[in-house]
Amino acid sequence: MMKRMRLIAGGVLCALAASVLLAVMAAPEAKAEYGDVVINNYSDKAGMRPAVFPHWYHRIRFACKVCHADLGFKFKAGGNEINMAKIIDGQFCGACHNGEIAWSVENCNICHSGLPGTPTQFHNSSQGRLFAPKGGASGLRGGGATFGPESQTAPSEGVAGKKGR
Amino acid sequence: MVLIRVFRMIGVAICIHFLCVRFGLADDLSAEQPVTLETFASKQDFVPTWMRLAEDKVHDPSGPAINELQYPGEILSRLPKDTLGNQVRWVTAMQSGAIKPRRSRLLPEDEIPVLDMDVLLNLRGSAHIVRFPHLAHTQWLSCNNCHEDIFKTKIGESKIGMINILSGEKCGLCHGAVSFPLIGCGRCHSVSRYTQLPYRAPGASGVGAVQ
Repeated sequence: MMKRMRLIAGGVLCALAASVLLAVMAAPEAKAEYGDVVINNYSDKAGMRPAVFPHWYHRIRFACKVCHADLGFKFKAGGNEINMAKIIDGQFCGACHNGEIAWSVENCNICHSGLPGTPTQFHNSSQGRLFAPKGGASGLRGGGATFGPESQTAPSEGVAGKKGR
Repeated sequence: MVLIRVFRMIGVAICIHFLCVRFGLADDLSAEQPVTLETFASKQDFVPTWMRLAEDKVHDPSGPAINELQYPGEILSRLPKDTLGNQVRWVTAMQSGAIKPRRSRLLPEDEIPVLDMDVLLNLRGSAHIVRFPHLAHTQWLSCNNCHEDIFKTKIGESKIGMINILSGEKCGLCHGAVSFPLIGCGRCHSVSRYTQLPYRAPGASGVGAVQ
């Protein structure tokens, strides 16, 4: 009986500790808007500020499918290997940011507005809060590593990449 | 061993409960009535606030464009409010016409299919039943965003679980990253097991398919 009581107490204590830990981790850390993506695959090395993509700004104007199906953006922060050559060529951001649909690429600083040294990440994501690894050796942190469609068992190509135009 | 497993489960349950309490979701989970989008997050005393870009520790406050970038609260404060994520109920915002996101980059509104079919999931679990609305999802996404790579079309073929979702697969690809975050338990687990399901039998048109 004593043993059982002790087990119960232990379980409750563990649960309390875990919930406090989770609550602390999940607490808002005074950070950017939910869904903001920092893309720093090449920026730091090239001496530019990392690019910050505000999801909220874009989803007011466009449905998800426009980018994630039609333009072939994978559901993975930093997973699209976007560079300026591709953008000027009209791929990814460049499909709209061409001076016709939206402002064009000479406005470098509007995208490249992040704090230097900020790793590629999906900002404020649930995964990032729960599983943020220490450091950031992979360059991907937290929910950025939302193991995109290519990690599924199905075809190696991303869902959007395969079927996008 | 069995006893330890039981205690561990109790521990996890208490843990989840504490999380829910912390985010004010406990009422929704224990409510007898299913939580609907209308009743959820309609806490009137909640006042959303948004971070200034120069203070968010992601944007460079000394960057040349910091004053050109729009302050999120300027526009988000005018949309239907929420307690989670961007503090905007995006689906309501779209369905009420508060925002009119384009569904194609170049064409005017082309013939993009919308599917109005609810799928009920997790019929045998202990949490509230999940109601997945195809309608809200197809208004934002196209079929091939999810099918067949992330979710199989056939009922029961996709192995969906909270472990998957919390680690960023399946629903967790978007929910927890862009769409409402995973602490909004009651938004997916929205149908009580103790109320009669307002759904017709599987197979009828526009019906909730049952797993």
